[in-house]
Amino acid sequence: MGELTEQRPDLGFVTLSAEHLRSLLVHLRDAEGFTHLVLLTAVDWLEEGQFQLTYLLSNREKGCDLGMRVMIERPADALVSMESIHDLWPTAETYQRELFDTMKFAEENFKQRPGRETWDPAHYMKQQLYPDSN
Amino acid sequence: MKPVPDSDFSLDTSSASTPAIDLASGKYLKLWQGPQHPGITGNMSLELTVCGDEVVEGRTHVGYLHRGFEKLMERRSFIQVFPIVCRVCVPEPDFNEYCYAAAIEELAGLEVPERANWIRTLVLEMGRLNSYMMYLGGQAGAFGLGVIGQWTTYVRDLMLDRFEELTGARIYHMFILPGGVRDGLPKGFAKRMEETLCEIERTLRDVKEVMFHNAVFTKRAKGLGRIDPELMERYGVTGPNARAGGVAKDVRSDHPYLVYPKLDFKPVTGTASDAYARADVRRRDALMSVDLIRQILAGMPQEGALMSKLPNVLHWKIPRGETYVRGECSRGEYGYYLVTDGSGYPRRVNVRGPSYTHAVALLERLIVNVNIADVAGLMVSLHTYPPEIER
Repeated sequence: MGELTEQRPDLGFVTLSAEHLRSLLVHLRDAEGFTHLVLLTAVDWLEEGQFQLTYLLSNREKGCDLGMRVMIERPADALVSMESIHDLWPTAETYQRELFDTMKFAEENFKQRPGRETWDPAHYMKQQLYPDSN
Repeated sequence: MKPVPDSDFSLDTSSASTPAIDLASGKYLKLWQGPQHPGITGNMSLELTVCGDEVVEGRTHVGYLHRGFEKLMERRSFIQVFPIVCRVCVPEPDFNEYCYAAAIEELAGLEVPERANWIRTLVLEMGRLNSYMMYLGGQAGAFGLGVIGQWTTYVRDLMLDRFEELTGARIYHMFILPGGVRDGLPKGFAKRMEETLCEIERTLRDVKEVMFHNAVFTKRAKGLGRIDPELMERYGVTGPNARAGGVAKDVRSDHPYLVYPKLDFKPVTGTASDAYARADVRRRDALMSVDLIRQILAGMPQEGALMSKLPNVLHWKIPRGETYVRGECSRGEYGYYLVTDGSGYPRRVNVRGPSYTHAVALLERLIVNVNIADVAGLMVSLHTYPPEIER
């Protein structure tokens, strides 16, 4: 785990490896009072061939935040993945879905919601009403 | 209304814990509410599976309003981003300006003049009142009380007049810039603001009598969309939605910013954590905003700089860094995560709006077992604005 960078007295960032992330998140949530997942987002360091995932947690009792940076390789021709945390915070599912849509970054163990294959109503209704016609 | 056992919630819809919904059985009906529907706040869509008149499953669909703001910002210089950020949230745009400006100031090491901080606080509270007025009208309208919306729209329009004379614009103000604010208060502003505040107070008294004592509103809103305390942290519930459940958390007092430490206020809380309690907390919070504006106008320095000295904004480069700046908007925690890379453009801007959690994961959870007729009331009660989900 990297050194803690203090951006403000109430905000710090730390860089860590992907395999340590989950255990640290659980520890921070259950033992240190960082119960609020403020956001989960990604920064695209295209030139450096890396994605930076930022998990920002907040301890609302103490009024301080901790951001965890996880740097993962960013191959140009393949999806990259990371362990999902939607079982720790259900709201993470929304963030992860957005990252998949915008960054083409996938979460391991993260199941996409089953739903329509297309958003074109005419095509959808044709599929539903006349499935054999295709 | 039956509570949903926690174990029944699963993102994996194929798991055994999720009740199987066989649409072919004839017991269920798929119903789309939105994206163009009076019972939806903004442009989003609810995919409801109903059994009789009760929702058994609801899924939120966003994407109808996506404008790619965050991506656009990555190709604009820091100052060029300002016309974009305010458009992330229509009814309360000033928080975007403040959070983005504060993030830039922190990373660039800019000091903001004291007088500008007072005016920023004033603008944010004016925006909060506007947002609450819009909410109250929407909440009442969702339960059939159309006249409330006419009253609150009228007083909101009065506040837009104050915005117009202060900033030159009614909706998107672009008034808070890095380093300060664009201008001071016009002559006679405080007097006209006091008249507007009196009108808002009078309207809120009427709203209390007509809406909160109304049998239909009381009957339908009480017990609707109750947020259990254990869901607060798991679903990232903030703002009035959390305070209505007794969680006395408010960014204005927990992470003091601007001149809030100099103002006298306490977070408004409720206990029932249902739609009625949320509406009541917002009504009382609006009254608190009225009081805060009076405190601000009384305590604001009349002289002093409004802007700190900026570098040439056309060639402004900010050193590599990252920060997160938050504020308490009318809907909860509003924050900007800004990453800079030493160039003249933001590397990443991420807008964390409260609707992002309230209107998607939380709404899907609360909507189960709700009567179809109450879906709109439930959604409005969370005070969600889809524009801040899609940025």
